Amino acid sequence: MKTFYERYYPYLFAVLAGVAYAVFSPAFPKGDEILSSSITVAAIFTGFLATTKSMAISLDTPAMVRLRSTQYFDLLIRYLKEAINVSLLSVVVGVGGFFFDASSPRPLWYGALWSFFMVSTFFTFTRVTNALLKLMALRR
Amino acid sequence: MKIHLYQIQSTPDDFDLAARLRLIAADDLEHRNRTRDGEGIRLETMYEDSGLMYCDFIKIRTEHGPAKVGFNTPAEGFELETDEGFGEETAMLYDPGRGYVVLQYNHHGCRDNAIADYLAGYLHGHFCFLSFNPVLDRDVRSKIQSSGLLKKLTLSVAARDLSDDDYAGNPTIGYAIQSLGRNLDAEKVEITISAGRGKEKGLQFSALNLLKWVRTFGRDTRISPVKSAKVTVQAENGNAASIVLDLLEQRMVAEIELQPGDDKRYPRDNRWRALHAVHDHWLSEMT
Repeated sequence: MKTFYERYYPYLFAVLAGVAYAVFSPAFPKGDEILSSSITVAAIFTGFLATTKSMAISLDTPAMVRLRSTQYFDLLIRYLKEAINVSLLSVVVGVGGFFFDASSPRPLWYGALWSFFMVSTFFTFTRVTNALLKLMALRR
Repeated sequence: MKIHLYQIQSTPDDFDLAARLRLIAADDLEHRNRTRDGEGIRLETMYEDSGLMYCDFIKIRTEHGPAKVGFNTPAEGFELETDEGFGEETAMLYDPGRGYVVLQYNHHGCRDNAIADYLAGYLHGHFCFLSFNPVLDRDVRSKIQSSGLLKKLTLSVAARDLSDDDYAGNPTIGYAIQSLGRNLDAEKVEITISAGRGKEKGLQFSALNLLKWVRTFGRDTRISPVKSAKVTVQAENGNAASIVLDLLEQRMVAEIELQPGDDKRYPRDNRWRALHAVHDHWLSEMT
């Protein structure tokens, strides 16, 4: 159960967000600012995660050295890859939104999709950065 | 007097230790001092002969020191000026051709890293880094084979570390972090097995097998659970003192008997001669 949760919770919350959007159907903000902002945020996350990747590989505290010799390290890298890929897809989804007419609200399905990606970007990001921060905090 | 062998390693690679030693030796005595942890250290003398450089470093202790005392006279202080203190001498032999440093081990004097930092950091504004890496004895195996009775074994093992077995049961990062956090604070178990007293008593097991077992856990003691493994063996001719062999990190070490002079110091020339003899012996052993 714990395994399943750790693996998939970002997407569970994302699906919940998408479904909630579809059910409560709030109007998607008009104009392009929201799309530009969300693209910027996703791009910042992507850049940060790329730096985190090199940190994960080069950090050599006893805890990291120990981790690197086990399959847990592959798991960490997998979480990192997921976070990077999801935030990149968020950028793509955001850019896609520009192709709709800015003067009228974007369709419901787009809003749900956008919510899904924003939430999964957030949670995949926090999942991997929290793990790395905790590992770095194990100093000795 | 214990003597260790080191190989120098420097950043940048072309750092010339011989030139640095000559430069320091050319300075006036009072300009050679540098401080480290509140104590002074300096290169006292340097002497070159046949391609080898003989040095003597001194650590100047100005904090509390010993008293002068006799079996029939009361304890009294030394007469020291304000800028004087107690000196602990450490002799060093540098072989520029091979990059070897043969260093006297003085427990109270400057150690290998203090000397390395002193030499590298001597010139302000010139960044370089020097380290003395202990040369390991590849011959621990034959030393064990040729030694006499095994008198004592000390093993220090750390708690079980994170491994793939854990992953099989708990493949989550959360578990890994918890487990690592617990284990880094874990205590070590130290096991000492000694043979009974008496010249004929020894432990009944194969030190060579132990050496193999210890080595399969990896020489990198940071991830290996075996933190320390030492055996005390009696030398073949039961008269000599027992030797301690470190199965993980046996350094090249030699011990030479020296007689202190009238002033209760080991004379510098004797120390240099000992370093030279040990240097020649090790060179012949390694070729």
